[in-house]
Formats: sequence, structure tokens, C-alpha cells
Amino acid sequence: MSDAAPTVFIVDDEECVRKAFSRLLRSAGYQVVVFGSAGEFLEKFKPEAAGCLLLDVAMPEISGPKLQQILATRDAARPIIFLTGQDDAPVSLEARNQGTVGFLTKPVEAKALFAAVAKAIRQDRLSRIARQASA
Amino acid sequence: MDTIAESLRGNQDLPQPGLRLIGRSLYFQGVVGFCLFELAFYFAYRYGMSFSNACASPFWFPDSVLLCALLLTPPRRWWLLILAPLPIRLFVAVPPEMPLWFLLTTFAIDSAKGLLAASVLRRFVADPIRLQTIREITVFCLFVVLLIPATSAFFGAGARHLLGHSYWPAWQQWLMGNAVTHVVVTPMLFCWILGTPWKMPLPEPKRLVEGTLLALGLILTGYFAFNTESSRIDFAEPIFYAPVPFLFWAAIRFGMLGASGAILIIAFFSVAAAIAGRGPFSDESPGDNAIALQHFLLLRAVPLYFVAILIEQSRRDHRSLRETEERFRNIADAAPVMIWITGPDKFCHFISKSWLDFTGRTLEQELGHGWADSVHEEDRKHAIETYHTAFDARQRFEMEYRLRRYDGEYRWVLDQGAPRYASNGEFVGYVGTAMDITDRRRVEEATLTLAHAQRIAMLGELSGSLAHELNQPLAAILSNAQAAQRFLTHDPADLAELRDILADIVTDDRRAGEVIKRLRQLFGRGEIQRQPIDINELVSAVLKLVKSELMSKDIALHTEFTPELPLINGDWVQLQQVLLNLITNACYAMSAAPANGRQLIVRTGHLDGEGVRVTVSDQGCGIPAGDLARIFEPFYTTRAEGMGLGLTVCRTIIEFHRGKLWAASNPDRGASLHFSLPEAEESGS
Repeated sequence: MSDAAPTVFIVDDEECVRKAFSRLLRSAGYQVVVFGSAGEFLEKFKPEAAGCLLLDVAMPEISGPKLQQILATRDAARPIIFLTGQDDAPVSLEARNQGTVGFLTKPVEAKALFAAVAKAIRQDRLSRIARQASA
Repeated sequence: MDTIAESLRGNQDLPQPGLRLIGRSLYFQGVVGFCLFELAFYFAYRYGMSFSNACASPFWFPDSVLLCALLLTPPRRWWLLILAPLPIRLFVAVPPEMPLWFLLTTFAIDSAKGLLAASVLRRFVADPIRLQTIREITVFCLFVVLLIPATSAFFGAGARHLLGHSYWPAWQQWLMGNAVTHVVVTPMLFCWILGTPWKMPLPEPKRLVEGTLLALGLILTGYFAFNTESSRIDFAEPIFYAPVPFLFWAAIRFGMLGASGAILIIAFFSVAAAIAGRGPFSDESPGDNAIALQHFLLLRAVPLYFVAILIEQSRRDHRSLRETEERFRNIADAAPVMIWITGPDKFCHFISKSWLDFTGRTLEQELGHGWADSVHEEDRKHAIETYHTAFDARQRFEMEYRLRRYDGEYRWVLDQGAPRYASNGEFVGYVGTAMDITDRRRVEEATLTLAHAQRIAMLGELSGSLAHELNQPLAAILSNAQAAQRFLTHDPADLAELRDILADIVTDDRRAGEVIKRLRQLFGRGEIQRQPIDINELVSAVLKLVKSELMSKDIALHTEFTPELPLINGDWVQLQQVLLNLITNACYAMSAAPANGRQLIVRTGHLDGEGVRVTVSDQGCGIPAGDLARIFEPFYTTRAEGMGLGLTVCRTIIEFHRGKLWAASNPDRGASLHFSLPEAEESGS
């Protein structure tokens, strides 16, 4: 994956949901990689890959916010958009920190999704530039 | 009589002097009975031998006396009765010029006849011997009247032949003499002595008067019929037949008792007249007269006995039928349920008093199809249809309908019917019971309402999780549809992609519809519907509903399903409610547990007996040992917002399904709740 083509990593345990988001994002020209669980993501992803995370909050075993914490400890933090159900607001409070770009409540309007993803990718690019500069 | 004296005497230590006295007096009776026999035999023998030694006696009465005495005595004492006549025969009533060998021979033949006849009767006729059935009289006529005398006649005639008589006439006389005494005298002795008529309740005065009139009629007609002046009477004279109506009167109204007595009276007059040389049996030679008289008596007595027994038997059958019917009616009227009986024509033939009391109508109103009049208009068609359908298929049925009570109130009634068959397997209609179940139904309805209320409350708590379940397909559908809109603007449009999207939308929409259907069921308040259920399928459906609830509470789910469990019979919604309750309780119990230790285990398995078992285990705070039973009591709760009815309702539901619900502590941590359900019975039962 090159820097030129930013990738959206989708992590959601619900197959139909990740498939639908993946399609929607591809229709807008994004590269998309999907994962069925946080565990699968941790196993497969490359920390140097550019892009953002579209992350389901409620997942069995490792939840969305927990995955965020793990990535932070591994120094692999990147912009994250959380997907929440209608009732997950209290849970998502713990996920309100620096890396969080926004919360999208399912069902998600395409416009809102694109806006959030665009913002996250911009943020990712900026942080990479900053890191390169400091290096 | 001898029997009783014997048995009492054999009892060495009678406890009371009073009883000993009775014993002695009975022994005295036994001795008296023996003397009476001796006396009776003496007269019978003398009378029998008085017909001159020219021929065998036309009426050999000693046979009747001996047979009757043998039947009154237990076989171990028979030797006494056999030997008792010997002195009379050898020394007391000896006709002149009778050689000793002849006396001894006839003694031996007569003894053998008596023993044989008594043995046959004891073997084939019920005690006391009263000749009450056609079978009994047939056995009696065949053996005692015919076969035994005919056989003995060969020997008797042989003895007489040696005295110089011709063989075949002697044989015939011997046979007839024996046969006539057993037809004329023996039945009378059986009925009037062995049958102990004096032990029966005293007849009504009306019957006594009738009996007296009958006896008088028989004596008068008997006297005038046979004591005619002329010895050359015409058998066509009406007076000769005058006793006949009285004979039938005796047989029809007084049975064998009357018939045997009447025959004896007629025999007495006909024989007395014949001996005196008067009447119809006096104009030929003595031998021919005797044979004519014998034929006359035989042919009058035997048919009369059959008539008497047939009538008595049908009267007895009729009475026992009436008693059976009365007993049944008493049972039906006293039973705590209403009872009805229908015939093969579907018409109601009987309905118990309890039903009539209930509806306040008369038996005539309810018979036929009248019972349906009291059934509520809205239920009537269904009730009649259910009955008719089951009837035509000869199947059991069960139905509920509203029945109008005497006070106009409609009450719910449970009516159950089953086909009934005669002993020969012939279908004879239906029998059934009806029971007022209004109060039971009210309790059931209240339980149903409570269960519903509890379910709504619980579903309210789970609303977030339930919404989530619906939200997933909706989210997928929206994004898919919007993606499709965008793909359509591409040039060229990716048709393969569009096809996939539409297929997914269809799938997701169906899934959403499925969720709504399930929720509607859960929220609804429908009638209980029993259906065959695969318990694994039910558990999976419930787990889908609570999936996000478990995730949001950081509870790991572990399932152990045993495949191919037997089906159970139950209500899908209510059983889901039980499982939902157990799972939400388990979640609540684990809310204070450390996040990495929250594990919910759901297991399904076989029950030791026949059925299935479901277990919900948690790793939570557990249940104090003393409270393991109390948790099912109403209003027991550890939750601030709980009503404390969840487990109470669960137990009611499971018990309604004839299952069991119980709690147990886990060996390590937390508690397990188990419920068992019986295997579904084969359909059609």
C-alpha cells in the first residue's frame, strides 16, 4: 500500500455491516481493508500503512475502545472513527481522546461517513508529515 | 345339618360355653337329620316295594331320598348314608320270597347310582343345588334322570332276569321308575329342602295369598281330574286338563319352587287315583297303567321345569340389569363431574343429574342433541363439529366451551369424550365428562397476564440490545443502497457489483423483518400455543437477541450445545421468556465481577429420564446456600429496580410445561440455573 492511496481499515464483527461500508467507501474511490474482529486486525495490519480506522464500538472479546488503547501502547495510534449503535453513547465516553476523529451512529448517512473519513485521512497525513519532519 | 354339626364338633376348643351349647344342639340336629333320613328311606322303600314283586317299582322314591341326603352331607360321611339303608333292606321291609343275593345286588346298584348322581351334581352344579339355570337342569336331566338310571337298569334287569322276569321289560321298568322319581320328587326336594327357602325373606302378603290360591287350585283340579268315576275316561274331557293352567301359573309366577311343588301335587293325585283303580290310568293292565302314568308325569314335568327356569332366569337377568343400571346412575349422579353417554347414532342417551342441576333443565330437554342448546352461541358450532369429527373418526376428543348455567351465567366447561365399545368389540357410542373450569381458567389467565407483564418489563430493560439487533441490518441496507446510487453514476456502471448489493439488501431486509417478527411475538400477548420445539434452535434465537447486551457488558459467551436433542412440546414465546430471564439475571450477577472474568455458559443436553435440560451458568456473585429455593418466591429480588417476579414467572412457565426449574451453586464461582422439559409425546395421543 502506497502513501498515495490512503486506506480505510474497517473493523466490525457484523459481516453485512462491514461489507456495506466497504462498498460505500470504494464507490467514493477509497482503498478498503476489512477485519471481522479486533484480534484479526492486530494480527494482520502493518503499522506503517497510511490511512484511518473505522471501528465498531461493541464487539465480542476486544471492543473498539480497547483496541484503541492497545494501538496506543504499541505506538501505532492512528485516526479512528467509531461506529456506535443507538445506545452505546455511555460506553463511547472512554474513547473520547486525541486519536478519535468522531462517532458515527448506525445507520450512517453516506455524507457524514465521507466527511469523517476525509477528515481522518487528512489528520493521518498531517501527523505523518509531522513525524517525518521531527525524525 | 350333619355338616355343621361335624364341623363344629371337629373344633376342639370352642372358646365360650354358649357356643359349645350351640355346637351340641347342632350335633343333636345332625343326629335328628340322620334319623329323619332313616325314617324317610324306610317309607320310601316300603312304598317302592309295595308294587308287588311282579315288576320293578314304577316310582323308586328311595333314590330321591338318598340323593338328597348325600347332597346335604360332606363326602367323607357318605359311607354312613350308604350303609344306613342296609338294615332296612335286609331285615325290616323285606318282601316275601326275596332271595338275599337279590337284596344285596339291588342295594349295591342303588348305592352306586346315588354316589354317581351326587358326584356329578357336586361337580357340575353350583351349591346350593336348586336347579336355577338351563345348564343345571340339562345336566340334571341328562345324567341323573337318563344316563345313570339307563346304565343301572342293565344290571337291575339282569338281576330280575335271574328271578325269572323277561329282560327288556324289566330294563324299561327299572329305567322309568328311577327317571320318574328324579323328575317328580327330586326337584321338589332340591328346591324345598336344599334350597332352604325358609331362609329367604318372608314374601309379601299378596304373594302368600297368591301361593295359597294356587295350591288350592292345584289340589282341587288335581283331585277332580284324576278321581273320575269312570275308569274309561276320555282324554279329551276338559276336566283332565284343568290342572294345566295352574301348572303354568306355578312355573311362571313361582319358578322352580312352584313348578316342582305343583308337579308333586299332580303326581300325588294321579298316582293315588291309579292305585285306587280310578281315573284315566286305571283301565289297562297294571303294567300298562304304570307306563302311561310315567309318561304322563315325565312329559308334563320336564317341559314345565324348562319354562320355569327360563322365566326365572330372564327375570333374574332383568333384575341384575336394572341393578347395574341403577348402580351406574348412582355413580354418575354422585361423581364430581358431569357425565354423558351417547349412542352410535350420535344422540345423547344419558346425562347425569349433575349436568341437569348445572343447566337447570330437564332430562328430556337435554337428550338427543338438546344438550347443545345450553352451549354459548359462539361456541356451539365448534363444539358440535369437534364432537362429530371425533365421532366419525372414533377418536378421543377434548374441547372447551361456555355453558349456560341455571342462573343464566355462562361458565367455561372442559368436555372430554372417548369412544366406548361393547365386550364383543362393537362400537356403541361415546362416553364423556364435563367439568366447570371457569375458576381454573381465570387463574390461568391471570398467570398469563402476569407473565406478559413481566416479559414486557424485561424486554424494556433489554431494549438497547434489541434495537441493536434491528440496527445492524438497517445500517447495512442504508449503506448498501447509497453505495449503489453512487455506483450507478460511474461510467460504465459496475453491474456485477450492483447485483451483489441488491442481493445483500434483500438478505438484510429479510433479517430485519425476522427480528421484528420475533419481537412482536415477545411483546404480544397471544394465547399459549404448544408446538414441537428444537431446544437448540430456541436457545440460539435468544442468544441472538442478547448478543449486544452481553458485549456491552463485557460478558464472554460460551455455548455447549448437544446436537440432535429430542423435540419438546411447548410455547415458543414463554420458553424464550424463561431463557431471557435466566440470562439477564446471570448478566446482572456478574456486573460487579472483574471484566476479564465475566463468562456466561449456556448448555443444552439430555435429561437422565426422557427430555432435555438447559443450563445457564454465570461467574457472578452467586446465591447464598439458604436462598437457593427462596429465589423463586415472588418479590424476592436483589436488584434495586427489579420486581422480583422474574424467576417466579419462569418457574410457573416451566411447571406449566411439566418441567422443573432449579438453582445450584457452582463449585468455583457463581450459580447455575437449570431447567428440564419432558420429551414431546408422539402426536395423536
